[in-house]
Amino acid sequence: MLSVSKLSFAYEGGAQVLDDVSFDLNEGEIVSLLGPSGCGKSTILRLIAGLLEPKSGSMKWQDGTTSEIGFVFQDASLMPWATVTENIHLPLKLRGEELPEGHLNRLIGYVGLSGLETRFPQALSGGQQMRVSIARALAADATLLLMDEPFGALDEILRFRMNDLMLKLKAEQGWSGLFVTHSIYEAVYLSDRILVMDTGRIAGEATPGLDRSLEAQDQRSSQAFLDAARQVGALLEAGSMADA
Amino acid sequence: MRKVILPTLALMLMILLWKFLIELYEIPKFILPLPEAVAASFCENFGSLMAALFETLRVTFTALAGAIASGVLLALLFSLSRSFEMTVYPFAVVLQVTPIVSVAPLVLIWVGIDHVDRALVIIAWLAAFFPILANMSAGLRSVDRHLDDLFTLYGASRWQRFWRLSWPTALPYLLASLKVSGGLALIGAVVAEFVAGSGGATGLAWRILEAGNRLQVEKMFAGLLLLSLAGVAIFYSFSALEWFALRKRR
Repeated sequence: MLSVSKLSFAYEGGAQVLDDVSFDLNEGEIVSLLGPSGCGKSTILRLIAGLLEPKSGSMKWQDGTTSEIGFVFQDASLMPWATVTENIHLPLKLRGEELPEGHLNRLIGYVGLSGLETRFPQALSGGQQMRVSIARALAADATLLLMDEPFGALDEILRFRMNDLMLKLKAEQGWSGLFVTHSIYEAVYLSDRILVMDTGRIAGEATPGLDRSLEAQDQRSSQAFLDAARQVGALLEAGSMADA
Repeated sequence: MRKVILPTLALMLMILLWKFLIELYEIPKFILPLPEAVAASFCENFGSLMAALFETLRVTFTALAGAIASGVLLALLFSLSRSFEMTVYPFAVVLQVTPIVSVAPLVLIWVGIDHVDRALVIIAWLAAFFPILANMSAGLRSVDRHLDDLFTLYGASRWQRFWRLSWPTALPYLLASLKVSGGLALIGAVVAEFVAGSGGATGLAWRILEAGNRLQVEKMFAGLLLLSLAGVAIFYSFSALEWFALRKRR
């Protein structure tokens, strides 16, 4: 379980980015951080990954290390000089480990990249590149996946497909995820819980409570989905009204 | 194919125009010789011209190798220490903006009295060094921010970060700079030979100078032609190297 407690952060000489943020993420859960640009969503991910030092507060992920954390960025950020396989291997290579072939093939199969193992990133579509990025994040047996608007640059159809892929991967592999997005619908579709943020603080929380047995198309048009989206929209609106 | 045919046609047209203008205006051969006279002089002096070219290329590539080694090393040090970069970079810029012709006599006095060869290499190095330093520095600074974060997240060592991230990122910048610096090293070698004059230089520039002193204009043109061809060959060799090294990224 991830436990974030009273987290505050400010860039040197700059304004406060996060102010006393606390939340928990249970094992096997996907929690979305939703809010306007600059509200501190990505900063939370970077703090949890150890890429930034908090001003105060604490974060604790299971054994207290970052070795089980995978990170997916908005752009795929692949190494253009390396093949699909080499890109996926990166986290393990840096730790001096090898990914067993069976495990690698399974992972490549999971994310739908079979047959593209020896391709270079330039020969892949945007969606395929993002799949490589996701596989790379999962390669080191990540149990917590931090995702910073990973599908923000994709078109709507591709975005739907990637959302479905994430749910499928989560169901098969059982990792937990902290997902930053601007999209209410994406947050509702993917998340067990949604934390609505506003200028460095958590302004509200919503639990979509969707019936996961429904097909993707039915899910997105279900009453529960629309109600949850409306509720999250109202929370966002309330946050921005409070600022005004 | 068009890339070869079009410039070849243009070259043939230029030669025809050259011949036509000489005959039309009856230009004396000690001002502008006929193309066939240049070709004849080239064949006649082939041995001495090629030996001189070899000498110039030896200086050029020795200087270029030094420029690559020093440019890459200094750029690496810059990437490790911003303070070091701020201290040293202005001096590198001074080297770049000072005309090589004005520095060459000094280098010849300091180094070249007993070792002209060394002076020639240093002058050619001065010409070739800066583009490599500037490009390599830019390359090392252009590492993908998110990849850099991933290397931090996965606990990469300094060596892993350099070898698996910084070096491959900077490689296209380095290869691009070689196309510029290769030509500059040749120019530097030629300038150095001109300044050295008959003080010991035996390269192609010195042959051109010598031919000029004897009013052998055809031989001057033959030397110039060889020099241009060498410059073009250096440029396209490095272009080919660049294409080969980066072919998988395209």
